[in-house]
Amino acid sequence: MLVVACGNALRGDDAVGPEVGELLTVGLAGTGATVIVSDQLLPELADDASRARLVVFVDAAADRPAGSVSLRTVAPRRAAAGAAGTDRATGVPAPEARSLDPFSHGMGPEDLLALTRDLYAAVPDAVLVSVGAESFEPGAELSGAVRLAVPRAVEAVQHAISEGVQKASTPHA
Amino acid sequence: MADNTIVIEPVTRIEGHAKITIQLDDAGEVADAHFHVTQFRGFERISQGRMVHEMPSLMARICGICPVSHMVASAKACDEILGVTVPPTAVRLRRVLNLAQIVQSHALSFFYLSSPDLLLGFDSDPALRNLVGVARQTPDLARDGVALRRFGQRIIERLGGKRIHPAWVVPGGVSRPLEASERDSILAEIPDARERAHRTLEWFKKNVASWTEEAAHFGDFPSLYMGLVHEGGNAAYSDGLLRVVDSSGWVMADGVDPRAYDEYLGETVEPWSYLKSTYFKPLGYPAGIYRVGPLARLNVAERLGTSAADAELAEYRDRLGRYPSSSFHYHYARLIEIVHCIDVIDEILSRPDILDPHVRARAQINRNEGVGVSEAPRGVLIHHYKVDDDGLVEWVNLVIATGHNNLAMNRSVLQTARHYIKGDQVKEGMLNRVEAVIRCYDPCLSCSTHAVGQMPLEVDIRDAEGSLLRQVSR
Repeated sequence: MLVVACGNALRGDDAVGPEVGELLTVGLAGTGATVIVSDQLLPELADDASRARLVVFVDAAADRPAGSVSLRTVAPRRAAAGAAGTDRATGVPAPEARSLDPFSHGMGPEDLLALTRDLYAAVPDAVLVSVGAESFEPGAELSGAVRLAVPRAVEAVQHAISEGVQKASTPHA
Repeated sequence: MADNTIVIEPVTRIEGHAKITIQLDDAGEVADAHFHVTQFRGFERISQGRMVHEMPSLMARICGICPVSHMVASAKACDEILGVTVPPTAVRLRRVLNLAQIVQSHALSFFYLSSPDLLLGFDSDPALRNLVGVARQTPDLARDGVALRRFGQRIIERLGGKRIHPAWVVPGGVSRPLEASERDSILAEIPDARERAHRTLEWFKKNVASWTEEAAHFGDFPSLYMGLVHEGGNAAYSDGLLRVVDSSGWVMADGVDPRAYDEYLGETVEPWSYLKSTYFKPLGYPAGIYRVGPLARLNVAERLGTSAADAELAEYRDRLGRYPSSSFHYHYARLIEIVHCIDVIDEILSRPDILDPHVRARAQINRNEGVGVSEAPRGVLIHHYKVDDDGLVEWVNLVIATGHNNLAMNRSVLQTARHYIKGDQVKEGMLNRVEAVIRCYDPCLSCSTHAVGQMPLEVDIRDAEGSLLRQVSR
């Protein structure tokens, strides 16, 4: 089991990922789960993801109500058909083949999982725990709503991991 | 009059914000070209009034790619202000950290930013000309890139406590000694890293002939080269003295104490960029154009000092001559340096005294001025501070590798544009080559302009009267 908690600790509510990650480093000690806290998702994390049965991403979300905690499954971005990722008729890049710039700060869980698949032929189960953010302005403090959401986010990750453990230990019918 | 300017904005797969403008004459030929750095930060002012002991950690925040380089150069400037002799084990540990930084940064530059052009082709589909495209076409090469970057980052994390912005290097040494378990973990990963570095170098050498045209037009011109060398001529990365040679091998300056940098280096500002241009003072501006970084380091040094890397260096010189002058060869030089850095890390960490607990000297303010110099991945990095008697910073000058290379980058862009762009019928692959010549230098614009950084780029093409003809943005 792998937890990847990402966010910039100096950009307001973006710090919720690192905050949750630090708590889980203690909370999951001895369970065999690995917690990685990172400013952003990076290609190197594909190596860690390839060794995990379940990856739980934790991140702040700009498009969710502040203080909300939600969970969804994530899958690798689909591979582009053929060598070219552009619709030659229209010149528009295929959505599944969008550019991945390691400096774009825009690598998402789907991109990381796609890289994990392409580089290591591994497709771990994955979920994203999103915490709705109020502000990403520079500063080291979480907003009140997000601060209150931290224990629920920790709980959501722990629940996802225990479900993952149960699923792995359930014999196939 | 039609607008005859091509604009490429933003320049992609570099660190920071930049654009390129290409000006055409009335016949549609490239008349001039500029590399504009469009971001600005100002760490030299931000630092004023801070305590000097804070400087290494503060300066590390300049960059998320090479924070270690800034931390090491900053700490060395602070060492001088304290007037301390840094314990030998701390000197070696700082070296390991700096070399790990070079490995991870070179891996990022070569595999993540430049290998898509080299592997998939400069004219390939831009939607797939990225790391994902490389992973799909040659996963082995991409895995080696990921592993080598990770190798360097893990060393930084083990020594410094975290991958980005570690606060382990302090004035007078490092904040804690190396644990045996940390040393053993790093040493255990060296054989794998070494194998991957050599495999990549072999791949590059096997394919280098296919980039002959690019090598001839990607900034191939005579210039000066500057780097740090040890007495005896071995390349130096954390210590050493400055040496400047020209393309014929004439030594223009040697044994220069880095404290005297401003006797040799001048800085000037052009109105079209926030990045200052540095030049070799004895030749004046702009004749004093010089390059730093991997290509320059291999040109100024007699040898690297490790057997495998020196064998590669000998082959490099057999293939390209003693003083290769094309900036395309930064890639080749970068890969040789990865081999060298891994071997030096191995040598240093295998010393029995590397676990010595005495790793920090402490003192109050003993001088009011200090200069710290080291080799960052991109070249010579200079931090120069003046403080008051209480250690409050009064004045800071940072001379960054990308600034040293600014004149050369501009000349390279012009040369590449003149070769590949004819008239206003510009294809994407031509513009990508103009960007790619900048990627050879691996510029770090956040460092060099002290500006908030991502890494986009743009190209302008203008007519003889300066009107905008075409702008290409990414």
